[in-house]
Amino acid sequence: MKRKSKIESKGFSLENSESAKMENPFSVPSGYFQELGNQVKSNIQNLPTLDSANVKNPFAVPEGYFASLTEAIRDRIKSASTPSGFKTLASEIFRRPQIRLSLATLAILVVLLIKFTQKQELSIPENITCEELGNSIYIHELDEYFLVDELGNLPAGSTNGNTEQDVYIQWFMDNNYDINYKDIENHL
Amino acid sequence: MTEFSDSEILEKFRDEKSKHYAFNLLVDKYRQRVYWHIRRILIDHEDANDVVQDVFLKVWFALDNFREESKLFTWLYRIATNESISFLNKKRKRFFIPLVNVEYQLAQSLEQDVLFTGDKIQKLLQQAILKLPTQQRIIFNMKYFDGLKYEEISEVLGLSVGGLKASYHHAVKKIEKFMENH
Repeated sequence: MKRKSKIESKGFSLENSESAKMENPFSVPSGYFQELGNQVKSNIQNLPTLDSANVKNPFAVPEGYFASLTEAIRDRIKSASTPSGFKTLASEIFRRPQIRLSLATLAILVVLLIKFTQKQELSIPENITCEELGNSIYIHELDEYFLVDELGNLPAGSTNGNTEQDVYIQWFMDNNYDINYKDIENHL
Repeated sequence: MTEFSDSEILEKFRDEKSKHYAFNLLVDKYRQRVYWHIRRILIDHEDANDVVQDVFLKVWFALDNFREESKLFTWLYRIATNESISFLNKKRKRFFIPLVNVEYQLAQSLEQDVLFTGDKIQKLLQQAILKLPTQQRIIFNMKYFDGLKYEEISEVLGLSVGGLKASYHHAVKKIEKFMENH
């Protein structure tokens, strides 16, 4: 048995073409078909016949364009002739976007690599002796106040100096006593 | 101003002393014909201006090797045609335009082109021409607008005269049909 289509189930049959023709849902403005014939004839009469007598140039150029064109060409030739063979080759290479992109990526990688290796070199070794530190030329570049701040915060006994002496020095400094090194040694 | 013959221009170009002068004569003689040929292919003035300069730059570097086996102007047309086609191909690649759609884009640009001074019928004719495949469009332009002989077009494009005649005939039929329907 033939299955009913969705349209047929809604009570409409595509086979019933006569009734469909009778019920045309579209309309045209009045007198349209009479006008259409005349319009088509008029359009055909106005068509340019494709023979050379009717050739018109529909394009225009900016004023004075052709006079300046010779000059522009001369400038292009001058600038193209000036660079050396290497420069021409280089500009030809760099003109290609793929090469420019590759070189930019390579440059970024090189910069990152240099940065990474420099960081490794600058890292402070964990074990350094006082002697090595004393021999270092960089010790003279350290700020005195920076050293006082840094070492002053360390707990007693953590430095390699005389611990008892350090405690006295710290006490004198904290109490604003004007005292020199010899006084402390004599006292001890 | 006296117009020099092609052979006179070439002779002066081969002399190092008058090389630049000869090239200026060549540019003055052919700049308009070359420009209009390119402009009809590329439609846009700025694009045509870029390509016409490229063409004469190539001519400057290649003219020493020109052996006069063909006429100078057919040689110039050949360079101009090749440069214009490669410009269109670059445009297709640059803007990811499908092969068939570049002419559609050119027809669209015609709508806003302030340097298009043709009337409604001329615009329709250009739109009809832009419906043709690129090579057929070039053949039609060279025959219809430039008034070149089939033998000359054959020399420029390297196609047989018979093939060119058939192509032009089909182009005319397509254009007439397009214009009747619009």
